[in-house]
Amino acid sequence: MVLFLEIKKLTKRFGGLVAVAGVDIEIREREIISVIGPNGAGKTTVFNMITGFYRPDSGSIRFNGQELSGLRPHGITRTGIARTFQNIRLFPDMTVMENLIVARQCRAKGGLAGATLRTSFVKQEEMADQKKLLGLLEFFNLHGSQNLRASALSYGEQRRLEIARALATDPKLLLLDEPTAGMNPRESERIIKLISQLRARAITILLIEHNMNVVMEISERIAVLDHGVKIAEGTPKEIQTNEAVIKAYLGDAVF
Amino acid sequence: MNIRYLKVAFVMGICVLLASLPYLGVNPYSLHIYTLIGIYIFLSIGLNIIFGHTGQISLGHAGFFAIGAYTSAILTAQLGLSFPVAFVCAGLISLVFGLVVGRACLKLEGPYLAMATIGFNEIVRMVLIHWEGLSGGPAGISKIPNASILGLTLSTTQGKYYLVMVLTILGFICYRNLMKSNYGKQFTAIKENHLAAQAMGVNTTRMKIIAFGLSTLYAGFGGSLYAHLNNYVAPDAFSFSESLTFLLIVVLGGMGNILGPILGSVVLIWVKESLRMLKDYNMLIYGFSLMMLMVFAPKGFAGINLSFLWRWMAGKNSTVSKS
Repeated sequence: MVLFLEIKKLTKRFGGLVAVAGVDIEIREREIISVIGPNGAGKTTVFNMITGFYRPDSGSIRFNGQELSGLRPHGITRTGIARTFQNIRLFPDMTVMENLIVARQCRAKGGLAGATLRTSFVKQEEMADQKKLLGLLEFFNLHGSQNLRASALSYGEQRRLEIARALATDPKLLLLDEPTAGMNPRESERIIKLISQLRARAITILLIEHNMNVVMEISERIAVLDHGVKIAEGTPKEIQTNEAVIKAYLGDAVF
Repeated sequence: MNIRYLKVAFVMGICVLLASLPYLGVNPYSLHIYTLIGIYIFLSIGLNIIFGHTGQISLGHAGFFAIGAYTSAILTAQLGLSFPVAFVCAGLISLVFGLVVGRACLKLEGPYLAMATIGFNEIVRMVLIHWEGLSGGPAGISKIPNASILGLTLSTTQGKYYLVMVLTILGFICYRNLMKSNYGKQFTAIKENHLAAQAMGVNTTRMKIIAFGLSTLYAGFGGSLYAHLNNYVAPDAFSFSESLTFLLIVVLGGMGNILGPILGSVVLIWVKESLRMLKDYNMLIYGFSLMMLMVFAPKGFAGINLSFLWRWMAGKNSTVSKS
């Protein structure tokens, strides 16, 4: 059987620092998996390698059997992997809708000539996209703000828009880098609900998260990184009682 | 829906006005200036695509302008080809140079890109001055035949005006369509956040090169029109200061604003011409008004918020919302 996402012996060095050292992660379709670990554990580096922003020094990443390392970020997005960023990276001076249109273009079929002459094919494609994207905004409770500039949204709305924008590329695998960072408990609750609804839409989710309530509530499996090495993997319950994990977070017992 | 009709009526009104301009007692000199404005619109559309929309500066567009102008001049005056062929070739040859320069400068940004493009501008100018066999040297190429389309020779100021106006309108429509399409959105996305654009599936390398190519295509077309407007081209018309004028138009009109190139060209050329009567004080006032404009309208003419005008028209004390 071909695995959905298969990460094998993934390694990345920055000069003398080994940021990620031989990490293996396997993900099945429709799973929600969290990657946790102390700051500097290499979580975001793993994300950056999956999405093509970093080139792995060694190891492989296979998505539905296709090798990803060597593809550039836009090519990886087109295979069906989308991401959000730890620090929000919207297009601030574009409207909410335009932010989504940019993401949507990677599925567009109208070419440069069609766009210049504004053929009926391009118009129809635009209308169909518009409708789809409006539905997406509604799902994220942002439909009233479609013509606002992205920078005019509140922090929580901007985080939601980032997820909506990632979904506009029609991903099969969604990578969320700390989606609840800086949110109050109520907003986090909302994100948790959204994430579990996404699974119902046949989207697999790989999550980096520091908020343990969120992690334990929605993940089916958790992988723990520390200093670039995967020190544990298992269900939330197993991880909560895993000694290596407790040691990584809290240090050795002194008594 | 009402707004839509209003817009259509407004655009139709402008078209009728433009078409009837030669019959409204406008003198030939003014008509020549209006024609020149059309050419500046071509150039500033080009520069707006790469600079205003995509965020990549070019201070060498006079170089591409020159390539378009000389291509058209050589093809018609020396090889005897017809204007439509020369016009298309002027755009395409400028495009080829644009793709090469765009590819070479792909990794450059900001001041470095500015310097590289200034360098290109100078190379083109120097080649034109020294390669006399091709370009006629400092004296340039004269006796460029008038444009003729379908057997109709446009030799009068009026004929040239109509030619440039029609082509400018067509050029503008294509530009508008492109910028409203997802290509235009991708250009802006690159300007706003390069990394996020990549993550959203934008092929930023390809898009930057396309933007540069489109930009130089427009510059080449503008060059061709310029050659047939003056029937004469010489290297000194394509110096770095001309590139700066294009930049000024784009900034004053409104960077990344679809109407920017039109507003910028119309106002800048019009102001420049009307200040001519002030002779020596001309540049002083010109420079001062540019400074003031940048202070009070940093987003250019197209970005001026007119809400204060509505409020003023509605009476001092009443508050009317912008919409």
